[in-house]
Amino acid sequence: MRATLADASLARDAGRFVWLELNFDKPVNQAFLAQHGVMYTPSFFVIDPADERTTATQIGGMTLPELRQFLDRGEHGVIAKGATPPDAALARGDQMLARGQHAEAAAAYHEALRLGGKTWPQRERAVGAATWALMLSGQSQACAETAALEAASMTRGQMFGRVVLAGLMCVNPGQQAPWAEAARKTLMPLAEEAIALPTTLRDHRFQLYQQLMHAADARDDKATLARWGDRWLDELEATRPANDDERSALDIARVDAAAFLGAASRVLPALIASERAMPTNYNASLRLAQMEIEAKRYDDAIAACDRGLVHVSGPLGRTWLFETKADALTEVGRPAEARRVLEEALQSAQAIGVNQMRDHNIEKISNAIKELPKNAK
Amino acid sequence: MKKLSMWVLLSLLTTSATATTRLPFIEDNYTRALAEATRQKLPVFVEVWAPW
Repeated sequence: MRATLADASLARDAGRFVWLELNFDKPVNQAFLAQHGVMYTPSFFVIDPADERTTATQIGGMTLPELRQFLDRGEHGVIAKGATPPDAALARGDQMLARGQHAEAAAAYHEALRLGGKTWPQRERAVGAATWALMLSGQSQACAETAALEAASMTRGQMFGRVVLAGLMCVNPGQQAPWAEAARKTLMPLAEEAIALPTTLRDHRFQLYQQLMHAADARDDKATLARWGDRWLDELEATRPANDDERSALDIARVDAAAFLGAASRVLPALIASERAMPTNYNASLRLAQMEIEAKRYDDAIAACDRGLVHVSGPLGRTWLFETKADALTEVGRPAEARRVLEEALQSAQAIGVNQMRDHNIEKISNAIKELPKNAK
Repeated sequence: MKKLSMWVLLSLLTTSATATTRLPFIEDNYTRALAEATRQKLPVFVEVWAPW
């Protein structure tokens, strides 16, 4: 997505906005993230400086045409006088989403869909926004059922992949209920279709691979798991990154695919090359360390974590590096050192700005400390 | 796998496009952006990104 924002054609839009980028893991940005309930990256907002009201919200990546529409929507801003009722409901949903009121946003989007009917020009955008708001508010059944109901009849554009992805994310975390089985049955073939479409955003295609692998793993279908994993890794190997942002994005996907496949050794050469190419990027070291643990190269993993800790800037990244190092120390039979490192992780996690993420990490690390041998002091 | 779950939650990956320019982004300073936008009477575009 960062590469989309670097597209040369956007130069003519430079004077339309004041452009701000916020690093999710920098403490200085935590107040903004908390105020807007940001849980996903990338997330985008257009804000009216007069009253700090959000006039457009987007969670997740966009194609260049979608970004242009987003900019227009944000600039147009307020719920205009004379806006149709469904357009006004859609705008209300965006504003609630921007305040982190995900359930209320989902209700507004559903109201927009009801008011707009089948021929409303904004219908597909509203379906996409509704499914993601339902997912973010934990309404898995409504999310999956909305996606399953709407996706098949949607235009095979970027929004199609986005809706299918949201639906699968709502059924794949082990949901076994009849509604989940029914949604999964509808959405799985649509996911395969979306992966093959040139219009599907690469962010979404990668996550669709992930969801298909999750589903195959859940039913212990090793052949299908390997087929999707191989296809994903082949695509990653065939892609030459244009810059460090893209290199990082490809490496994140490599780690996800290799971890699922149990094929860490397969991606180590690429991750080692990335760490060398981005020597001050702590995430390159973290990704390498994680795969070195998977490949049982524990001493190498500890060294990679130490390299990353030299460069890490935010509490979340620091927490992950400490946790990963503790894992490696535990594996090589150094529980006392693992405990000390986990205690550092716990201290670091206290500084994470987003409440839900901070609490989740603190609980996870506290449990990990309890699980260490009692005599590991 | 447990270790990767937070990445999965957080990381919506980047996409490629022709990258030949850079918009004039202010980095990590909402207050400054807001003041600048008030002065110029422009809306603020905000991208929240993650380094992982």
